[in-house]
Amino acid sequence: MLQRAGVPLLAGFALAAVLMPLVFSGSSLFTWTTAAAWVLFATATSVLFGWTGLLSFGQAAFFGMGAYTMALLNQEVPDLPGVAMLVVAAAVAAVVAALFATFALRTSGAEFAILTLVLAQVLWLLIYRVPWLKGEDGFSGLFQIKILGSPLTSDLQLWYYTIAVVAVCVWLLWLLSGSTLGMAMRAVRDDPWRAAALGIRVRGVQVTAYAVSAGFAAVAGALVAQGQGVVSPAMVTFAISGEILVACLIGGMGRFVGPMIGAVVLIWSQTMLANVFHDSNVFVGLLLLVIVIALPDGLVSIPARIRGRRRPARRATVPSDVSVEEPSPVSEVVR
Amino acid sequence: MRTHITRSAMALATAGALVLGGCASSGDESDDGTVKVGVVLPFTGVQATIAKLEGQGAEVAAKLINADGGVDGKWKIDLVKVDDQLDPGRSATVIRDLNDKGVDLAIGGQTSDLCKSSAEASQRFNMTFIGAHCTSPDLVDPPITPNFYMIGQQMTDIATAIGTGLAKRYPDIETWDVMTYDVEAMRLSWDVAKKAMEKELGRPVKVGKKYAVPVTATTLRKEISGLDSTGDKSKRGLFLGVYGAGTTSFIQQAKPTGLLDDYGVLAQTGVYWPTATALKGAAPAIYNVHDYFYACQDTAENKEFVAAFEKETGEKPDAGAYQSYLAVRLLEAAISKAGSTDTAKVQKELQGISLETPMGTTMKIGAETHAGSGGVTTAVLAGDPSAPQGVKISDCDVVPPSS
Amino acid sequence: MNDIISVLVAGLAQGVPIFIVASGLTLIYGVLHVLNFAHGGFFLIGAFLVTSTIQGGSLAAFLGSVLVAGAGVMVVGVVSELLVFRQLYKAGSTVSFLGAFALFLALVGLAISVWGTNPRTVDYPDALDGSFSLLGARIGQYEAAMIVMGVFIAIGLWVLLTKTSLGTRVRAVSHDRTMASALGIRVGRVSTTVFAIGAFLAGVAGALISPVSSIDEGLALSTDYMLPAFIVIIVGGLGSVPGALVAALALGIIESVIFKVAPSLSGFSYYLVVALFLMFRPQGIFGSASRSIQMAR
Repeated sequence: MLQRAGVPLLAGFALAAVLMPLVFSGSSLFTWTTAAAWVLFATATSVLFGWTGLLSFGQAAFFGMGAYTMALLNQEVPDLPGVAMLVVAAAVAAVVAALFATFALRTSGAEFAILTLVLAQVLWLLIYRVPWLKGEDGFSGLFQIKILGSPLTSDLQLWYYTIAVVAVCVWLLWLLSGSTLGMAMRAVRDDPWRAAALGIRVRGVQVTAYAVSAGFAAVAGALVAQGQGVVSPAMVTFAISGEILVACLIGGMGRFVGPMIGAVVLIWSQTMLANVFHDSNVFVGLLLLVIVIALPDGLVSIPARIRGRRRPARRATVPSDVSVEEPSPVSEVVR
Repeated sequence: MRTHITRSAMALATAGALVLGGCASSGDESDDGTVKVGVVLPFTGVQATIAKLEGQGAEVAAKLINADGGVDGKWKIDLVKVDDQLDPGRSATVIRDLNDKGVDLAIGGQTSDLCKSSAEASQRFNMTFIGAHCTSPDLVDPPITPNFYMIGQQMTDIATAIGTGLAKRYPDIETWDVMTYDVEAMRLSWDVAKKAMEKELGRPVKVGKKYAVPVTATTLRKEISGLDSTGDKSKRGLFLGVYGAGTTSFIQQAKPTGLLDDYGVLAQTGVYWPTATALKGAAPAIYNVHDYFYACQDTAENKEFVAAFEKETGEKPDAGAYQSYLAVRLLEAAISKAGSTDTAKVQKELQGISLETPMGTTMKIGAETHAGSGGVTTAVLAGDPSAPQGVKISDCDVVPPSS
Repeated sequence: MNDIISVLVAGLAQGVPIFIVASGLTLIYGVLHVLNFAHGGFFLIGAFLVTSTIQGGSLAAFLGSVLVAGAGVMVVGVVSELLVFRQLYKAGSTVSFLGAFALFLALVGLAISVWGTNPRTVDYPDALDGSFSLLGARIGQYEAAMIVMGVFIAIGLWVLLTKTSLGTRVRAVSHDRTMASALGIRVGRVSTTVFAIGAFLAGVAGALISPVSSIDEGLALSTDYMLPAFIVIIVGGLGSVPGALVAALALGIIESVIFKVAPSLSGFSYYLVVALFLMFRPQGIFGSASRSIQMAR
């Protein structure tokens, strides 16, 4: 029952929160802070991709939406507590995502992925086109956001705050994963027709998954923005959307913690590769190729492979295609 | 699945052990006799070439200063270069790297968002940060953070200078067609330039076609065919508020129409030098404005700088190299005045400091604004295979800062 | 009248290069059922290859260089098909799509390490660096040549798919892989061939736009070429070459008209059109509701 309530998960986060500052300081601790926010981002993305089987190439849209909402709130109502800003950011992203998904889910598979990419692109263009989003200048001063009444003045406080928010959010997602809705998501991923036959409202589950994923991605974006102090269009680029998929795939989505490990590996390898190689793209690309082809269940599957005790192939981790070659069950069944 | 959660969480925690190697020693005070200066630029990515020249500008300044016995005869400059990859998130990390290495004074900042994130991050450690290449008025007066100073000339000064210069040199132009990037700074550059033109000419300026194109646009056919449809262009000017790939694509796509030769004058507020040199002698003549063009400044210090830069790199310095050079010189002046490399003392001296620039102007840093106003230069840049790097610079005007 | 002509011409000039990019993409989808995200990487390498191989300014030199670029990218495409996609067809199209995404990252990274991040340019071929007037609208010779090229490619693909034995086999595989295999068609070989043709078209597309664009890594996911190409094949109906042609030209002209009447929407019009379109016809112009892929209909 402790498992079910996510106690080990929270304990893990608590341990990390205490241990990291003892081992790391300065730039390394800041990198861990960034990695923590990406852990949340990756888990949120996994709701969509790993649990529900919907592929999104535009997660940066919601990551950025969280950051921009935070920046605008900080500008308009600077006295609002930081945590309240996070909640608003999540709500804004979730509503936009639900509206978008309602229309975009008329398509499926790769077409849906391209539409999400288009959404991110439109938001990116809007940042330049709408004067109050400040174009390439972006926003600054997000260090001033008040947490428990006063701004975070050191990187150590930033670490504790970030890891606490991430722990709570990931824990909520853990509870969701074990809930009826979480089961429904996996049922939709594995076989939408059967899910529909069982009385699951397939489209409703997909839209909900998209909104939940967007809301938590927005929190991650807002945390990153708070950590770096600024928000700029760089947070809404395809690079971000691509990187988070890479994180999910590296870690593997067969287990809840897969994307989390993937995010940590990604952020740290980028930081370390940046000091060694000048362009890390080739390595990220090749690494991902190897994983997609040779290790489709991601890094989390390595221990099982080493033991040679292949776990029963319950399901492919990478969601099998819903409906590109077949008629879309979604649109036909739900209506 | 859940039975593995504990082990996996442990793995997450112990993953840290793998990266212990990346942990640098911190709090390393600079030795007597050297002063560390951080250089934060996008040495990789699409702006790598520009950043390289900028880094070399800082290196030349450090070399010249060190050859003269160091700052105030006491401290040799030790440059510490870090790569922000043109990403604000990355710059927040590399500023912390600098702090870990005991760097208290830094220059850099390619764009306004990078200046912002560098300033925010360096504020944590009260590190002095001089934004050498950003130009947004948004960043200063008041400064975004107390430790931030900016020496790039602001768009209002740049646009005023080009507007005034165009009115003086091309008084017969009656109508202007305008194409800018769809960003605030570039749209503003036309409005300001137009106002300056009208003030100089004493009459309203007519605006013909006016386009704002997305910053990623590289297909400008529709705009070009629109510009093309306006008939006789001998009394028309074309005002470009674009830079980088936009300039290149525009020139490439407009070439077959003969448009570029028809206009009475082409003017550009964005940076043109890198595009002009890349076109290897074939660049169309464009009336451009920037802080600095190497051939326009007739001072002993500029000759020394250009010669040293050429010796180091085999190229002429561009405005970016000049800005980095100036930023290091500015730190030198502040350290000398403070008699210390202490970041708080240096910041105090930077407020209100004056510096003779190689342009022959005096740059003064506003005590309250933290903005360095040092004058701008206008000139015609034209492709010429026999000129150095294939670009001839003529019709120079150095516009001193308005006090 | 002049206005209408110049709007039409600008629309065509915009739409045709996008069709050329999209043609290879939709062809590969039609047969292999893979949305080849790596197409942008192929496209970028095609443009870069021209910058390295072009010798002098003659039209022949340019065309030679375009063919070399097409062939070079074709080799990259065949290697990719054998090493990557061949391993993934069975895993379903989402996994193939992710493989294509990984390949995209690797190819772009590779292109940057070979050619650098500094933007490059290519001159127009000497014979095509001017312009001419058509009913009062001025048209660049190179743009006109590009339109002609697009027509050639469209006709070439139509002939290939409907009039040749390869085309028959391609359509069979496209329609039902298992059945085609049972009928003795070597499905693997047909797949590789189609992939080679698609990659060749991507390389040619990259090469053809090289004189009119700044050539840098941004091309790989350019909002002027790659994203519209993705949109075009969705609007046209995935896998349909005629659909891609119609959609590319229609969107080019729509964008051009919107630019004329509501310039502030320019840049968004592609996205607005695709959003509206998919609300009413999610399967695309030529896609049938059952999604069975019918090529060259």
